[in-house]
Parts: sequence; structure tokens; C-alpha cells
Amino acid sequence: MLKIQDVHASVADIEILKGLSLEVQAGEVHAIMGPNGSGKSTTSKVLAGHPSYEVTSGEVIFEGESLHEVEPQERALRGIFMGFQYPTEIPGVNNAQFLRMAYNAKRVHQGLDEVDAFDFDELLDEKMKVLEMNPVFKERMLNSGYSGGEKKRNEILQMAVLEPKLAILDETDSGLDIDALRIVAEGINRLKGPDNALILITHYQRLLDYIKPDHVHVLSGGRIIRSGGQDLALELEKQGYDWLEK
Amino acid sequence: MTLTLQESLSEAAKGLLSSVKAPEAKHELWRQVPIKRLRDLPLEAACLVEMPSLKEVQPTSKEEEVSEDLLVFQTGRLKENSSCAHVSIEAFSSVANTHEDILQQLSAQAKDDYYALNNLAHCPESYQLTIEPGRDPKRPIHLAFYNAHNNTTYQRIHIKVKSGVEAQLITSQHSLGEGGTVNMEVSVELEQGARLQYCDGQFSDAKLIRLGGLSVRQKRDSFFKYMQLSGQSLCLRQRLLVDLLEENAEVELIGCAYLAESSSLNHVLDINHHVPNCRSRQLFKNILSAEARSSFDGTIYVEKNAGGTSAAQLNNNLLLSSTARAHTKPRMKIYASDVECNHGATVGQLEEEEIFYLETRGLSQEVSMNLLAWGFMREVIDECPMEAFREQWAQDTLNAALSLKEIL
Ligand SMILES: Nc1ncnc2c1ncn2[C@@H]1O[C@H](COP(=O)(O)OP(=O)(O)O)[C@@H](O)[C@H]1O
Ligand SMILES: [Mg+2]
Repeated sequence: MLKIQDVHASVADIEILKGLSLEVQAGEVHAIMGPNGSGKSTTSKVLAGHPSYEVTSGEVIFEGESLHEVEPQERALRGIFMGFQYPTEIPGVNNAQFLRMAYNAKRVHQGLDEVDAFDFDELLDEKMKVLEMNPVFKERMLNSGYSGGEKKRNEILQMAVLEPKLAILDETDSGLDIDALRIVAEGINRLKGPDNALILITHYQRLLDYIKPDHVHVLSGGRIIRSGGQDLALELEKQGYDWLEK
Repeated sequence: MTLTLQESLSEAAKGLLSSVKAPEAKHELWRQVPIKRLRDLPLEAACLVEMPSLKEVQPTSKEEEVSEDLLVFQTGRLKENSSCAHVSIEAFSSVANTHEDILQQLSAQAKDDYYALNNLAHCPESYQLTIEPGRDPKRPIHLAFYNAHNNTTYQRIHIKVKSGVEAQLITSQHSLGEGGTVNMEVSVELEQGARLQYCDGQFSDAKLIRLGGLSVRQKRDSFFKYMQLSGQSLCLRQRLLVDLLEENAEVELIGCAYLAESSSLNHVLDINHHVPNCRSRQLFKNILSAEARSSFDGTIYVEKNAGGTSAAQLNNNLLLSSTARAHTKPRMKIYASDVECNHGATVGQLEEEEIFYLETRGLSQEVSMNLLAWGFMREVIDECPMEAFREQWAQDTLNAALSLKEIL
């Protein structure tokens, strides 16, 4: 589904990713761990197509097609979803209305009819129930004034509505308390299937107790320096990253 | 033969006009106004024009029951037999000139102001609307002005809200054809404890020139809220003058404009706190695209004895293009102590991170930007309590410009 081939990427002329390679098949869950500043968020932004992040060499291939110069909107419509580490606050834009616009944009892209506010409301209620979200969030402004945990939950709500093929969740677990983590993780698990894939960026083994990864990677200095199974995550939790970097 | 009040006002203004010239670009308050666009303005009043049927006029006709009282003005003149419950209407040409005080007050207000004097001199009719007790405070009085697209349509309305009365008022401008010039002067007088919410709606018309002013005089415990919703125009310039004359009066002036193409919008505000313990607030938000221009000159004046004043002024401009310009100059002249005043202004663009966030959810860059622009405006639009009218304006002006299908 996704092939990242020796990608070098810069922001503000500083090279952050230095030869990143990763392959993700449909149905798989990958976890990316790594010290602060190693390039995890940069990886997610490069995948989502952030205009400030420039891929200087290497290639990202999604479902057989290069993502080179593909706009963020187009990537989203093709089925890539990024859950932000720090979701942007958008004052003045109503959460439910925004979600419906995004949902309809995807439907139009798929050649389907748009849904009206009434039908969408039902769908949204159902998704919000799974995530145990208070219905008041429908009428609130997008991420505006939400607590850290509320923002993360709202990211997963968006994922649930858009049902992406590939989701990259950047530290979705940070900011969630234990109960919220369990609810959100269950929500994410429901969206897993043989046709889609998940990349979880996390610092904590905790999340991986709920969502079992098939592969765990350690990112350091803009490259993957070690890959393994879930036991690698356990090892990292015990020992930190130092033993790997040496 | 005695003159009517209308005639004597006109005479007095014509006299004053002999020594007042059209403003020039070097005059500070006109510096940001596209004077060139006003140069060959016709000054004579437009003749009566054909009116569309009232059904077309009725802005809320989609609802079974009309939720407003409608008064239709045809090139500045009220249509015959128009009436509105608990509103007494008096035309100045039916009043004999025994009102030295009105004459003095109006000519003093217009003094030095070329366009206000022209309004006094050429307006075919002035109206005094007195809002009496007994009105349903949630049922707006709607003054719909139908204007000629050639010559200048002059409008002059004096509104008085009786003591303790609460009312809502809408004025809307409609051009019969495209363009034209509207010169509109409105004055509002609030007696003790009176409350008025006034929504001034201007729909987009790329060729429209609108000049004029609103002057407000408030007595004790009165409340006035003005909301101006404007769209594209060739030149829209407005003076807003508020005199808080007695204690515990409160005024809020809200503005919201979407300026496309080479639209120009200029506001000059004077908020005068003459007495202690009054409150004033202004929030003006503009979206500018293409080559649009806006200027905001706001002065809050707090007199020496006006302690306990609370005043706030904010002007925010969102530029959607690199060729749009906004000039903003909020000012405070405070001579009293024990006052709470703050003012601010911003001129900015959309945040790249916000656009990116929306794009990652499958919205195009254009839709994302338009959605954010709507978000910028929402705060002001939501302030207008006259929902049917507000939505109509938002649909026709903002949604049309932002290519959004529905009101958010
Ligand atoms: N917009 C930016 N401008 C400058 N430096 C940046 C920018 N974004 C990220 N960086 C730098 O790139 C490095 C990797 O950042 P990031 O990908 O956010 O790390 P993390 O692995 O903690 O998510 C850090 O040193 C960070 O300071
Ligand atoms: Mg990060």
C-alpha cells in the first residue's frame, strides 16, 4: 500500500529525514517510536503533503502512484489520513458542518451523492457514540478551545467519519487519560480491516497494548535504525533509546 | 407663503453649500477614499422609478407569515399608504416650518460635510419615525429602499424610540438596475430606557456608491446596537457618530463586510462619552479580496467628567489577496480617570497551518480558505438577532462570494 523509498526531506532548508525507508502492506499496523526530534512528526507531515516540508530525494509511493507534488487534498481523497500531534484550532468553523463537508468531498470524489445534514447527523451520532463523545462537540468550533485529550478524540472522530485507507496517527495517545486511551484505541481498532493500514507514532508501549502492531520501528536522526516486533517496543520501554543509538 | 420644514432645510443647506467644496484626497478623513470615483457624481435627486411587485420586495416572503413590518421607499420616498403598527410617520414636507431647533440641529450636524449637506439640500423627503410603546420587540420594522441606478437616491430618516420602548429595525438597500449612488442619512434618538437593535444591510453591487452617516443620541439607560452587513461596492463611506448624553447608556456598533474586486469601504467613527458610566463597544471585521480597500478611522472620546466609562474598539481585517489593503486607525482621547478602555486592530492573512489542516481532510485549498474566511466572520454575523434577514444577507453576499452552498 505504502512505500517510502530512501526519502530525504527538509524544512526551512534543514534536512530532517535522511534516508527514510518503510513499507506498509494493507491490513498491517506499524508503530514508529523514537526520541524527541527524531523526525516522527516530519514523517507524518511529509506523508500528508505539508507545503513547508520538501522531499529533496527519494520517493513516496501510495497504491502504486508517486505522491510527488500531489496536493494534500488529493492525498486525503485517495485515502490518506493524518492525525495531528497538535491539531490546529480553527475558530469559527463548526465541527459538524466541517465534517460533513469533508465527508461529502470524499463521496463526490468516489462518484457518490452528497448526504444532507439530516442523514449525516445520524452517521455522526453513531461515530460519536463509539468514541463516547459528548454531542455538544457537534456544535463546537473545530478544535477551538478543546483540551489536549478532546482534540485527540476529535481527530479519531474525523478518521472514523472519513474511513481512510491509510491512517498515520501522530502521538494520538499523548494527552489522553487511561479511560480515554482505552475508548479511543477501541475506536481505532474498529476501523482496522484487511484493506487498510495504520501507522502509529507513539512514545508509549501503553497504546500498543490495545492496538497490536505487526511491526515496530525506531526512528532516530531521520532514519529507521531498528525494526522488529512488539517485543522491541517492550525493550524500548525498559531501556530507552540509548542502547540502540550507540 | 410659509415654507415647509423640508423646504427650509433644503434652503438652509443650499446656503451652506455655497461655501463648502467637495472633499479632496488631501483631507485626512478622505485620504483612503477613492475620491476619483466620486468626482462626477450626479448631485440631483433621482426621479421616481418603476417598482417591482411587493412580492419580489418582501425579503421573507418564503415564510407563510410575514415576520416583519415592511415599509417600502421608492427613491427616497415612502410608498403611499404604507404604515406600521405603533410607528408614527411624519413627512417633513407636511410640517410647517416652526421648528427652528430641528433646522439648527440638522444644519449644524451637516456643516462642513459636503455630502451630508447635499443630502439636506436635495433629499426629496425626510421622515420622522417615532416608535411608540406597544410593539412586539422581536418583530423588526423593515425599511426597504429601492434606488435608481442613475442619479443619486437621497434618503433621510429620523428615528425616535420612545421612553422604555424596545424595537428592532432593518434597513436594506436594493438597486433597481445596477449601480447608482445612495446618499443616506439616518439619525437615531433614544429616550430614557429605550432599546433599539438596528441592522443595516447592503447587498453586493459592484457599481454602487453609498455615502452617508448615522448619528445617534442616547439618553439615560438606553441601549443601541447597530449592525452593518455590507457586500461589494464601488465606494461605501460612512460616518458613525454617537453621543452618549446621559448616564448608563450603552452602545454597540458592529460591522461585517465582504469586499471583492476593487471594492472600497471607509468608516469614520466618533464615539463621544459626555457623561459618566456609559459603555461603548465596536467590532468591525472586513474580508478583502482582489484589489479591495478598507479604512477605519475610529475615535473614542471620553470627556473629563465621564468617569466610569467602559469603551472597547476592535477592527480586524482579513486579506485574501496580496493586492488588498486595509488601513486602520483606532484612537482614544481620554480626559477622564477611572475608565476602562481598550482598542485594537489587526490586518492579517489566513494561517497556513489552518489551511493545511482543512486540506488534509479532503477540502480543496479554495474551499478551505473560504471556510476559514467564513469562520473569521461568524463572530460578527452571529451578533445580528434578526435571523431571517441575516441569513438572506449571508446567503446572497458571503456564501455567493465564498462559493459555499449553505449557511454555516
Ligand atoms: N517547521 C520547522 N522549522 C524548523 N525546524 C523544524 C520544523 N519542523 C521540525 N523541525 C525540526 O525537525 C526535527 C524533527 O522534528 P519532528 O519531526 O517534529 O520530531 P518528532 O520526532 O519529535 O516528532 C526537530 O529538530 C525539529 O526542531
Ligand atoms: Mg512529533
